[in-house]
This record gives sequence, C-alpha cells and structure tokens, in this order.
Amino acid sequence: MENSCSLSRKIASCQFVIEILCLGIYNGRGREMRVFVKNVPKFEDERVVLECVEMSEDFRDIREYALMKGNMLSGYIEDAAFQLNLSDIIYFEAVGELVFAYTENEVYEIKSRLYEIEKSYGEQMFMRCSKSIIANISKIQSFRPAPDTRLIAKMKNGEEIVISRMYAKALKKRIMEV
Amino acid sequence: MRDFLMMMGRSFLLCSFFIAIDMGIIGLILEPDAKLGYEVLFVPPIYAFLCTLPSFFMYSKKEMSTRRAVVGRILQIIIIEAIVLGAIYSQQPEMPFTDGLIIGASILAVFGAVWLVNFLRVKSDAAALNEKLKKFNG
Repeated sequence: MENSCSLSRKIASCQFVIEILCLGIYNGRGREMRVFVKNVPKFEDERVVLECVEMSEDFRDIREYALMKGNMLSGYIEDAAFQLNLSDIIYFEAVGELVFAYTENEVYEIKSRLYEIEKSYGEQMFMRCSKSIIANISKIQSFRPAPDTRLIAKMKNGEEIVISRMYAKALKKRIMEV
Repeated sequence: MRDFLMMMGRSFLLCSFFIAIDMGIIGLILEPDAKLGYEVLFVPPIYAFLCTLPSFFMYSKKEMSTRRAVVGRILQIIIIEAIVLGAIYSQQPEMPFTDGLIIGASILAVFGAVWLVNFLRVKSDAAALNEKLKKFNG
C-alpha cells in the first residue's frame, strides 16, 4: 500500500493527465499495476482515472489521495461514504487508530492518518493543536486560558479544544500571520 | 521537552522572586529584629529549586486533560509544602506550630503568585489572538 501511495503522490505531482490502468486487482500479491501518464495541453483537462476490476483497499487509498488533493475528502459514517468539503470540517481528531472529522452536525470517519491530514492540509487553514487534534483555524471563535495555564480554543460549534504547549507557539504564530 | 524546560526555568525565576518577597514579609512578622548574613541571599534560589523539582513529576509525553492537570497541580503543592516544611523543621525542630502554619500559608501564596503570573501571561496571549480572530472573522 505504501508503494502505491508514494507512486500516486509522484504521479499527482506531475501536471499531466494521469491514467492509471490496472488489469486485475492490485493487492500486493504479485500483480503489477500499470501506470500511464498522458500529457494534456490544458490544466482543465487534468484528471486521474482509475480502472480496476473492483475497488480494493489500494484503489480506495489512491482515490482518496486524489480527492484530498482538492478541497474535498471522503468521510464515512458506518459504511456509507460522503464527500466532505474541507471548509465544513471544524477539526480532525485521532481516537486510537481511527481518525474522525467533526462538522457542525456530523462526525465522519476518515481513512487517513492524522499526520497525513496534517501533511495534506497543513498549508491550508488546518493546524495541529495537540497530538490528537488538527483544527480548522477559520472555525476558531475565541481563545481563553485554562486553569492549568494552557490555551483553550472555543470552536464555532461550541466545542472547546485544549491547545498543547508543544503546538501553542506555532499556532499563535500562524494566527498572527493570517 | 524544550518547552517544558523553558516553563520550568520561568517558574524557577518567578519562585525565587516571590520567595525573596515572602521571606521579607514573614521575617518582618515573625522575627523583625533578626540579623542575617549574606548566606541568606542563597535561600530563595535554593527553595525555588526545591519547589520546581516536583514539576518534573508532572512531565508527561501524553496530553493531559485539564482536569488531570489541575489534580496534578494540587498534588504538586502538597509535595512542595512537604518538602519546604520538612526542610525548615529539620533545621529548626522546635519551631512553633503557628509559625509553621504561617510559612505553610506563605508557600501557598508563592505558588498562587507564580500560577497567577503564568495565567495572566496566557490570558494576554489569548486576548491578542482574539483580537486577531476578530479581524479575521470580520
């Protein structure tokens, strides 16, 4: 899976139309994924096409990565998949091995690790607040000091997030630069 | 760890300052005529060091909830009271209980003063950030 992810990252960084064609299910058990890169003249024509017999976990990862490059990402409630707009997400939280995205009304499971989310959206309005939380800066309503002299961010949905000392300085700097 | 050590350093300096003030006030109340030597100048940093030591037991790589952090602070003050009063009573076992109570209360006051300074610093940071957010959110 790691190979396919790094491969897709390399492919996505090219400004070409990308066609990934797979004859059979790539599952790391010997079948090779064939990769085609096709040049197109216009940016509007750029796209990623996945061709597979069935949506395996590897293909799901590649699809998710391609989607996350834009402003949408896939979230799941039980087995149902939803397309989430990044601007609707208030914060991401890692609970054990799982990562959840919190919007105004719903909580979606995200099939990515927190560090991957940080890497993908760190340059946008998302910022690490603690080891388990990445918050959308544009969704912070206010800050207040906690009794233990840490900062607490009150989000626009009313929830409060404790900012870890380790990330407080970077967060302050980022907000001051916004 | 670096942030934690910086916080400890700041607490140490604040403790030294407030202990010196505290010693002056307590001294004036309990023994206003006492003559002291230069060695007394070393007392605030020594006690500040002793008071800062229990903070290292609070260090955790895991994120602490606010509630757990507050419980930790309470434990910290209990340990500090025990260390400082233990050190004083080991030097002056005949010290009256009421004097011990006054010193105990003054330790609490120093702890509170250090906490207040740190709290006000974070409050000021929060105010600056809120001001920025207000502009950002329109």
